[in-house]
Amino acid sequence: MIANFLIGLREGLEGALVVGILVAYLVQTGNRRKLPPIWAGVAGAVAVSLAFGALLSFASATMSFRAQEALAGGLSIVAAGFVTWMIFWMRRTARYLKSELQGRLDAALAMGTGALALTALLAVGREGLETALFLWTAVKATGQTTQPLIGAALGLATAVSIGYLIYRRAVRLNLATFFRWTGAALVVVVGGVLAYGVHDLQEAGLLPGLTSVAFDVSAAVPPTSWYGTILKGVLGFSPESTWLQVAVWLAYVVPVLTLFFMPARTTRRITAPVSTPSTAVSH
Amino acid sequence: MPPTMLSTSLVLSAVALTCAAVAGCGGSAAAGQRTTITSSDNACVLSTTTLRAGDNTFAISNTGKSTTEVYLYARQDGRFTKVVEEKEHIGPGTTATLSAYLQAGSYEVACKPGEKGDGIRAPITVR
Repeated sequence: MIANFLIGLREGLEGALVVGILVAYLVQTGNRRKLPPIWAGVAGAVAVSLAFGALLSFASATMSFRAQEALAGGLSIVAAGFVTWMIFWMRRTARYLKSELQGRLDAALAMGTGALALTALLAVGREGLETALFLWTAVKATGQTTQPLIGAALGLATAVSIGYLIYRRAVRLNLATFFRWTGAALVVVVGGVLAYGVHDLQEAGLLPGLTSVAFDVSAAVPPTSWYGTILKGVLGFSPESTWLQVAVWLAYVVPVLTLFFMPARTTRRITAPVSTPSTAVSH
Repeated sequence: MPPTMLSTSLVLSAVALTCAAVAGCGGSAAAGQRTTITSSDNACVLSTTTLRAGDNTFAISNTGKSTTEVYLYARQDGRFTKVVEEKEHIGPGTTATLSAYLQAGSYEVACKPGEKGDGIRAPITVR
Protein backbone atom coordinates (compact mmCIF):
# COMPACT_ATOMS: atom_id res chain seq x y z
CA MET A 1 0.00 0.00 0.00
CA ILE A 2 2.74 2.46 1.03
CA ALA A 3 4.86 1.53 -2.00
CA ASN A 4 1.94 2.07 -4.39
CA PHE A 5 1.08 5.30 -2.58
CA LEU A 6 4.63 6.55 -3.14
CA ILE A 7 4.51 5.74 -6.87
CA GLY A 8 1.29 7.75 -7.22
CA LEU A 9 2.78 10.62 -5.23
CA ARG A 10 5.98 10.69 -7.26
CA GLU A 11 4.23 10.64 -10.61
CA GLY A 12 1.80 13.40 -9.68
CA LEU A 13 3.93 15.79 -7.66
CA GLU A 14 5.73 17.66 -10.39
CA GLY A 15 2.70 18.34 -12.57
CA ALA A 16 0.78 19.49 -9.49
CA LEU A 17 3.64 21.84 -8.61
CA VAL A 18 3.80 23.49 -12.03
CA VAL A 19 0.03 23.82 -12.40
CA GLY A 20 -0.30 25.11 -8.81
CA ILE A 21 2.23 27.88 -9.48
CA LEU A 22 0.72 28.75 -12.86
CA VAL A 23 -2.79 29.03 -11.41
CA ALA A 24 -1.50 31.08 -8.47
CA TYR A 25 0.16 33.44 -10.93
CA LEU A 26 -2.99 33.99 -12.96
CA VAL A 27 -5.07 34.53 -9.81
CA GLN A 28 -2.44 36.90 -8.38
CA THR A 29 -2.45 39.02 -11.51
CA GLY A 30 -6.26 39.12 -11.64
CA ASN A 31 -6.62 36.83 -14.64
CA ARG A 32 -8.99 34.19 -13.34
CA ARG A 33 -10.73 34.27 -16.72
CA LYS A 34 -7.60 32.66 -18.18
CA LEU A 35 -8.01 29.62 -15.95
CA PRO A 36 -10.42 27.52 -18.11
CA PRO A 37 -7.82 26.90 -20.85
CA ILE A 38 -5.35 25.79 -18.16
CA TRP A 39 -7.86 23.32 -16.72
CA ALA A 40 -8.67 22.17 -20.24
CA GLY A 41 -4.96 21.48 -20.76
CA VAL A 42 -4.82 19.46 -17.55
CA ALA A 43 -8.01 17.56 -18.45
CA GLY A 44 -6.67 16.91 -21.96
CA ALA A 45 -3.45 15.45 -20.57
CA VAL A 46 -5.34 13.21 -18.14
CA ALA A 47 -7.80 12.05 -20.83
CA VAL A 48 -5.13 11.29 -23.45
CA SER A 49 -2.96 9.46 -20.91
CA LEU A 50 -5.82 7.36 -19.55
CA ALA A 51 -7.08 6.48 -23.03
CA PHE A 52 -3.66 5.58 -24.38
CA GLY A 53 -2.81 3.66 -21.20
CA ALA A 54 -6.11 1.74 -21.43
CA LEU A 55 -5.37 0.88 -25.04
CA LEU A 56 -1.99 -0.55 -24.06
CA SER A 57 -3.33 -2.32 -20.97
CA PHE A 58 -6.54 -3.85 -22.24
CA ALA A 59 -6.33 -4.12 -26.03
CA SER A 60 -3.34 -6.52 -25.90
CA ALA A 61 -1.28 -3.83 -27.54
CA THR A 62 2.27 -3.46 -26.37
CA MET A 63 4.78 -0.70 -26.59
CA SER A 64 8.45 -1.59 -26.33
CA PHE A 65 10.32 -0.01 -23.46
CA ARG A 66 12.44 1.82 -26.04
CA ALA A 67 9.37 3.49 -27.55
CA GLN A 68 8.03 4.27 -24.09
CA GLU A 69 11.32 5.76 -22.88
CA ALA A 70 11.77 7.71 -26.11
CA LEU A 71 8.27 9.16 -25.75
CA ALA A 72 8.70 10.00 -22.06
CA GLY A 73 12.17 11.45 -22.64
CA GLY A 74 11.05 13.49 -25.64
CA LEU A 75 8.02 14.85 -23.77
CA SER A 76 10.22 15.74 -20.78
CA ILE A 77 12.50 17.85 -22.92
CA VAL A 78 9.59 19.59 -24.66
CA ALA A 79 7.92 20.16 -21.26
CA ALA A 80 11.19 21.61 -19.91
CA GLY A 81 11.20 24.07 -22.81
CA PHE A 82 7.61 25.16 -22.16
CA VAL A 83 8.00 25.57 -18.40
CA THR A 84 11.19 27.59 -18.96
CA TRP A 85 9.24 29.81 -21.33
CA MET A 86 6.48 30.09 -18.68
CA ILE A 87 8.97 31.22 -16.01
CA PHE A 88 10.23 34.08 -18.14
CA TRP A 89 6.77 34.87 -19.48
CA MET A 90 5.47 35.31 -15.91
CA ARG A 91 8.28 37.67 -15.11
CA ARG A 92 7.85 39.73 -18.27
CA THR A 93 4.10 40.12 -17.88
CA ALA A 94 4.55 41.17 -14.25
CA ARG A 95 6.45 44.22 -15.44
CA TYR A 96 3.46 45.39 -17.45
CA LEU A 97 1.33 44.99 -14.34
CA LYS A 98 3.41 47.40 -12.34
CA SER A 99 3.88 49.91 -15.09
CA GLU A 100 0.12 49.94 -15.54
CA LEU A 101 0.41 48.97 -19.16
CA GLN A 102 -2.80 46.96 -18.98
CA GLY A 103 -3.05 46.87 -22.76
CA ARG A 104 0.34 45.25 -23.14
CA LEU A 105 -0.45 42.80 -20.34
CA ASP A 106 -3.66 41.81 -22.09
CA ALA A 107 -1.79 41.38 -25.36
CA ALA A 108 0.81 39.18 -23.70
CA LEU A 109 -1.92 37.15 -22.01
CA ALA A 110 -3.86 36.76 -25.24
CA MET A 111 -0.72 35.56 -26.96
CA GLY A 112 0.26 33.34 -24.07
CA THR A 113 -3.02 31.59 -23.27
CA GLY A 114 -2.64 28.78 -25.79
CA ALA A 115 0.97 28.24 -24.81
CA LEU A 116 0.06 28.28 -21.11
CA ALA A 117 -2.59 25.62 -21.73
CA LEU A 118 0.02 23.61 -23.60
CA THR A 119 2.46 24.06 -20.72
CA ALA A 120 -0.12 22.69 -18.27
CA LEU A 121 -0.89 19.84 -20.65
CA LEU A 122 2.77 18.88 -21.00
CA ALA A 123 3.57 19.28 -17.31
CA VAL A 124 0.82 16.81 -16.45
CA GLY A 125 1.02 14.62 -19.55
CA ARG A 126 4.78 14.09 -19.36
CA GLU A 127 4.46 11.39 -16.73
CA GLY A 128 0.86 10.75 -17.72
CA LEU A 129 1.25 7.60 -19.79
CA GLU A 130 3.44 5.94 -17.17
CA THR A 131 0.99 6.91 -14.44
CA ALA A 132 -1.98 5.69 -16.48
CA LEU A 133 -0.32 2.33 -17.17
CA PHE A 134 0.40 2.01 -13.47
CA LEU A 135 -3.18 2.93 -12.55
CA TRP A 136 -4.67 0.46 -15.01
CA THR A 137 -2.50 -2.38 -13.70
CA ALA A 138 -3.73 -1.46 -10.22
CA VAL A 139 -7.30 -1.59 -11.55
CA LYS A 140 -6.59 -4.99 -13.11
CA ALA A 141 -5.33 -6.29 -9.77
CA THR A 142 -8.59 -5.40 -8.02
CA GLY A 143 -9.79 -8.99 -8.60
CA GLN A 144 -7.25 -10.15 -6.03
CA THR A 145 -6.56 -7.01 -4.05
CA THR A 146 -7.73 -3.40 -4.01
CA GLN A 147 -4.67 -2.24 -2.05
CA PRO A 148 -2.64 -1.14 -5.10
CA LEU A 149 -5.50 0.92 -6.50
CA ILE A 150 -6.27 2.57 -3.16
CA GLY A 151 -2.57 3.26 -2.60
CA ALA A 152 -2.04 4.74 -6.07
CA ALA A 153 -5.20 6.84 -5.90
CA LEU A 154 -4.28 8.21 -2.46
CA GLY A 155 -0.78 9.00 -3.73
CA LEU A 156 -2.12 10.97 -6.69
CA ALA A 157 -4.67 12.71 -4.45
CA THR A 158 -1.88 13.71 -2.07
CA ALA A 159 0.14 15.13 -4.98
CA VAL A 160 -2.86 17.20 -6.07
CA SER A 161 -3.42 18.40 -2.48
CA ILE A 162 0.22 19.49 -2.24
CA GLY A 163 -0.24 21.39 -5.51
CA TYR A 164 -3.28 23.07 -3.98
CA LEU A 165 -1.42 23.97 -0.78
CA ILE A 166 1.38 25.50 -2.85
CA TYR A 167 -1.24 27.51 -4.71
CA ARG A 168 -2.81 28.69 -1.42
CA ARG A 169 0.58 29.72 -0.07
CA ALA A 170 1.66 31.34 -3.34
CA VAL A 171 -1.43 33.56 -3.74
CA ARG A 172 -0.68 35.11 -0.33
CA LEU A 173 2.91 36.04 -1.14
CA ASN A 174 3.54 39.47 -2.58
CA LEU A 175 4.32 39.43 -6.27
CA ALA A 176 8.07 40.13 -5.94
CA THR A 177 8.56 37.33 -3.41
CA PHE A 178 6.35 35.10 -5.52
CA PHE A 179 8.59 35.55 -8.55
CA ARG A 180 11.89 35.25 -6.81
CA TRP A 181 10.97 31.97 -5.12
CA THR A 182 8.68 30.20 -7.55
CA GLY A 183 10.79 31.22 -10.54
CA ALA A 184 14.08 30.05 -9.04
CA ALA A 185 12.46 26.89 -7.68
CA LEU A 186 10.92 26.10 -11.06
CA VAL A 187 14.30 26.44 -12.77
CA VAL A 188 15.70 23.76 -10.46
CA VAL A 189 12.60 21.59 -11.00
CA VAL A 190 12.94 21.93 -14.78
CA GLY A 191 16.64 21.03 -14.53
CA GLY A 192 15.51 17.78 -12.91
CA VAL A 193 12.90 17.15 -15.62
CA LEU A 194 15.57 17.67 -18.26
CA ALA A 195 18.05 15.32 -16.55
CA TYR A 196 15.31 12.73 -16.11
CA GLY A 197 14.36 13.05 -19.78
CA VAL A 198 17.98 12.60 -20.79
CA HIS A 199 18.10 9.40 -18.73
CA ASP A 200 14.97 8.11 -20.49
CA LEU A 201 16.57 8.83 -23.87
CA GLN A 202 19.73 7.06 -22.72
CA GLU A 203 17.63 4.05 -21.74
CA ALA A 204 15.95 4.17 -25.15
CA GLY A 205 19.41 4.05 -26.71
CA LEU A 206 18.94 7.42 -28.43
CA LEU A 207 21.65 9.04 -26.31
CA PRO A 208 24.91 7.36 -25.26
CA GLY A 209 26.48 6.99 -21.83
CA LEU A 210 23.87 5.03 -19.88
CA THR A 211 26.55 3.06 -18.07
CA SER A 212 28.83 6.07 -17.35
CA VAL A 213 27.53 6.70 -13.87
CA ALA A 214 28.62 9.93 -12.19
CA PHE A 215 27.38 9.00 -8.75
CA ASP A 216 25.28 6.31 -7.16
CA VAL A 217 23.83 7.14 -3.76
CA SER A 218 20.94 4.67 -4.06
CA ALA A 219 22.22 2.91 -0.93
CA ALA A 220 21.75 6.13 1.08
CA VAL A 221 18.71 7.41 -0.84
CA PRO A 222 16.70 4.34 -1.89
CA PRO A 223 14.48 5.31 -4.87
CA THR A 224 11.47 3.64 -3.25
CA SER A 225 11.87 5.36 0.14
CA TRP A 226 9.62 8.32 0.98
CA TYR A 227 12.49 10.79 0.82
CA GLY A 228 13.75 9.26 -2.41
CA THR A 229 10.20 9.70 -3.72
CA ILE A 230 10.01 13.36 -2.72
CA LEU A 231 13.45 14.11 -4.17
CA LYS A 232 12.51 12.41 -7.42
CA GLY A 233 9.01 13.84 -7.59
CA VAL A 234 10.01 17.44 -6.90
CA LEU A 235 13.59 17.82 -8.09
CA GLY A 236 13.75 14.92 -10.55
CA PHE A 237 16.73 13.70 -8.58
CA SER A 238 17.96 10.22 -9.58
CA PRO A 239 20.07 8.57 -6.86
CA GLU A 240 21.99 6.95 -9.69
CA SER A 241 22.86 9.61 -12.26
CA THR A 242 24.92 9.40 -15.41
CA TRP A 243 27.59 11.95 -16.34
CA LEU A 244 25.43 13.17 -19.21
CA GLN A 245 22.55 13.83 -16.79
CA VAL A 246 24.82 15.80 -14.47
CA ALA A 247 26.27 17.75 -17.41
CA VAL A 248 22.83 18.60 -18.82
CA TRP A 249 21.52 19.60 -15.39
CA LEU A 250 24.46 21.98 -14.84
CA ALA A 251 24.34 23.29 -18.41
CA TYR A 252 20.69 24.20 -17.87
CA VAL A 253 20.44 25.33 -14.25
CA VAL A 254 23.57 27.52 -14.04
CA PRO A 255 22.97 29.76 -17.09
CA VAL A 256 19.17 29.88 -16.70
CA LEU A 257 19.34 30.81 -13.01
CA THR A 258 21.93 33.45 -13.87
CA LEU A 259 19.67 34.79 -16.63
CA PHE A 260 16.71 34.68 -14.29
CA PHE A 261 18.37 36.88 -11.69
CA MET A 262 20.53 39.12 -13.88
CA PRO A 263 19.14 40.61 -17.08
CA ALA A 264 15.80 41.75 -15.68
CA ARG A 265 17.64 44.76 -14.28
CA THR A 266 19.18 45.60 -17.65
CA THR A 267 15.84 45.26 -19.42
CA ARG A 268 14.10 47.36 -16.84
CA ARG A 269 16.63 50.12 -17.13
CA ILE A 270 16.16 50.23 -20.88
CA THR A 271 12.44 49.65 -21.31
CA ALA A 272 10.80 50.76 -18.10
CA PRO A 273 11.94 54.28 -17.36
CA VAL A 274 8.79 54.91 -15.32
CA SER A 275 9.83 52.56 -12.54
CA THR A 276 13.01 52.31 -10.55
CA PRO A 277 14.65 48.88 -10.41
CA SER A 278 13.54 48.30 -6.84
CA THR A 279 9.87 48.96 -7.46
CA ALA A 280 9.58 47.34 -10.85
CA VAL A 281 8.59 43.93 -9.62
CA SER A 282 7.34 44.69 -6.11
CA HIS A 283 4.03 45.92 -4.87
CA MET B 1 -11.24 25.05 -26.72
CA PRO B 2 -9.14 25.35 -29.90
CA PRO B 3 -5.66 25.73 -28.28
CA THR B 4 -6.25 22.63 -26.18
CA MET B 5 -7.60 20.60 -29.06
CA LEU B 6 -4.53 21.61 -30.97
CA SER B 7 -2.24 20.57 -28.14
CA THR B 8 -4.06 17.29 -27.64
CA SER B 9 -3.61 16.42 -31.26
CA LEU B 10 0.03 17.50 -30.99
CA VAL B 11 0.57 14.99 -28.19
CA LEU B 12 -1.25 12.28 -30.14
CA SER B 13 0.90 12.91 -33.18
CA ALA B 14 3.97 12.81 -30.94
CA VAL B 15 2.84 9.38 -29.78
CA ALA B 16 2.27 8.23 -33.37
CA LEU B 17 5.62 9.63 -34.49
CA THR B 18 7.44 7.91 -31.65
CA CYS B 19 5.77 4.64 -32.57
CA ALA B 20 6.80 5.07 -36.19
CA ALA B 21 10.34 6.15 -35.34
CA VAL B 22 11.08 3.45 -32.81
CA ALA B 23 8.82 0.79 -34.35
CA GLY B 24 7.77 -0.29 -30.93
CA CYS B 25 4.01 -0.02 -30.76
CA GLY B 26 1.33 -2.48 -31.63
CA GLY B 27 1.64 -6.23 -31.70
CA SER B 28 -0.12 -8.68 -29.49
CA ALA B 29 0.97 -9.24 -25.91
CA ALA B 30 -0.39 -12.79 -26.01
CA ALA B 31 1.81 -13.96 -28.86
CA GLY B 32 4.27 -16.83 -28.53
CA GLN B 33 5.41 -18.62 -25.42
CA ARG B 34 4.23 -17.36 -22.06
CA THR B 35 6.45 -17.44 -19.01
CA THR B 36 5.60 -16.18 -15.55
CA ILE B 37 8.03 -14.16 -13.45
CA THR B 38 7.34 -13.80 -9.76
CA SER B 39 9.30 -10.96 -8.23
CA SER B 40 9.33 -10.82 -4.45
CA ASP B 41 11.52 -8.84 -2.05
CA ASN B 42 14.23 -11.52 -2.12
CA ALA B 43 13.59 -13.82 -5.08
CA CYS B 44 13.05 -13.86 -8.82
CA VAL B 45 11.26 -17.04 -9.87
CA LEU B 46 10.52 -18.03 -13.47
CA SER B 47 8.10 -20.75 -14.51
CA THR B 48 10.72 -22.01 -16.93
CA THR B 49 14.29 -21.06 -17.76
CA THR B 50 14.37 -22.67 -21.21
CA LEU B 51 12.47 -20.72 -23.85
CA ARG B 52 11.80 -21.08 -27.54
CA ALA B 53 13.18 -18.51 -29.96
CA GLY B 54 10.60 -16.10 -31.31
CA ASP B 55 7.88 -14.08 -29.62
CA ASN B 56 7.93 -14.43 -25.87
CA THR B 57 5.63 -12.98 -23.28
CA PHE B 58 6.46 -12.65 -19.60
CA ALA B 59 3.66 -12.27 -17.09
CA ILE B 60 5.21 -10.53 -14.11
CA SER B 61 3.67 -10.38 -10.66
CA ASN B 62 5.12 -8.49 -7.73
CA THR B 63 4.47 -10.47 -4.58
CA GLY B 64 6.89 -8.43 -2.46
CA LYS B 65 6.39 -5.34 -0.32
CA SER B 66 8.52 -2.94 -2.36
CA THR B 67 8.07 -1.63 -5.87
CA THR B 68 10.03 -3.67 -8.37
CA GLU B 69 11.43 -3.56 -11.89
CA VAL B 70 12.09 -6.47 -14.24
CA TYR B 71 14.83 -6.31 -16.85
CA LEU B 72 15.72 -8.75 -19.59
CA TYR B 73 19.42 -8.55 -20.37
CA ALA B 74 21.43 -9.91 -23.29
CA ARG B 75 25.17 -10.39 -23.24
CA GLN B 76 27.38 -7.50 -24.24
CA ASP B 77 31.18 -7.65 -23.96
CA GLY B 78 30.89 -10.86 -21.96
CA ARG B 79 28.50 -9.40 -19.37
CA PHE B 80 24.73 -9.28 -19.21
CA THR B 81 24.32 -5.51 -19.50
CA LYS B 82 22.41 -4.97 -22.74
CA VAL B 83 18.75 -4.23 -21.97
CA VAL B 84 16.44 -6.13 -24.34
CA GLU B 85 13.25 -5.12 -22.55
CA GLU B 86 12.30 -3.73 -19.16
CA LYS B 87 9.31 -2.90 -17.02
CA GLU B 88 9.59 -0.22 -14.35
CA HIS B 89 7.41 0.77 -11.40
CA ILE B 90 5.62 -2.51 -10.74
CA GLY B 91 3.85 -1.83 -7.45
CA PRO B 92 3.32 -4.49 -4.80
CA GLY B 93 0.31 -6.67 -5.62
CA THR B 94 0.21 -5.60 -9.26
CA THR B 95 1.11 -7.40 -12.45
CA ALA B 96 2.78 -6.37 -15.68
CA THR B 97 3.42 -7.90 -19.08
CA LEU B 98 6.70 -7.78 -20.91
CA SER B 99 7.00 -8.90 -24.53
CA ALA B 100 10.13 -9.54 -26.52
CA TYR B 101 11.20 -11.21 -29.71
CA LEU B 102 14.12 -13.40 -28.65
CA GLN B 103 16.77 -15.02 -30.77
CA ALA B 104 18.55 -18.16 -29.58
CA GLY B 105 21.18 -17.47 -26.95
CA SER B 106 21.76 -16.79 -23.28
CA TYR B 107 19.94 -14.07 -21.40
CA GLU B 108 19.43 -12.96 -17.83
CA VAL B 109 16.23 -11.83 -16.17
CA ALA B 110 16.78 -9.38 -13.33
CA CYS B 111 14.16 -8.57 -10.71
CA LYS B 112 14.99 -5.33 -8.92
CA PRO B 113 12.92 -4.99 -5.77
CA GLY B 114 13.46 -1.44 -4.48
CA GLU B 115 14.19 -0.31 -8.06
CA LYS B 116 17.96 -0.22 -7.65
CA GLY B 117 21.17 -2.13 -8.13
CA ASP B 118 21.88 -5.10 -10.37
CA GLY B 119 18.90 -7.03 -9.09
CA ILE B 120 18.33 -10.70 -8.48
CA ARG B 121 19.45 -12.48 -11.61
CA ALA B 122 17.93 -15.58 -13.19
CA PRO B 123 19.73 -17.00 -16.25
CA ILE B 124 17.61 -18.21 -19.16
CA THR B 125 18.43 -20.08 -22.33
CA VAL B 126 16.60 -19.51 -25.59
CA ARG B 127 16.81 -22.26 -28.24
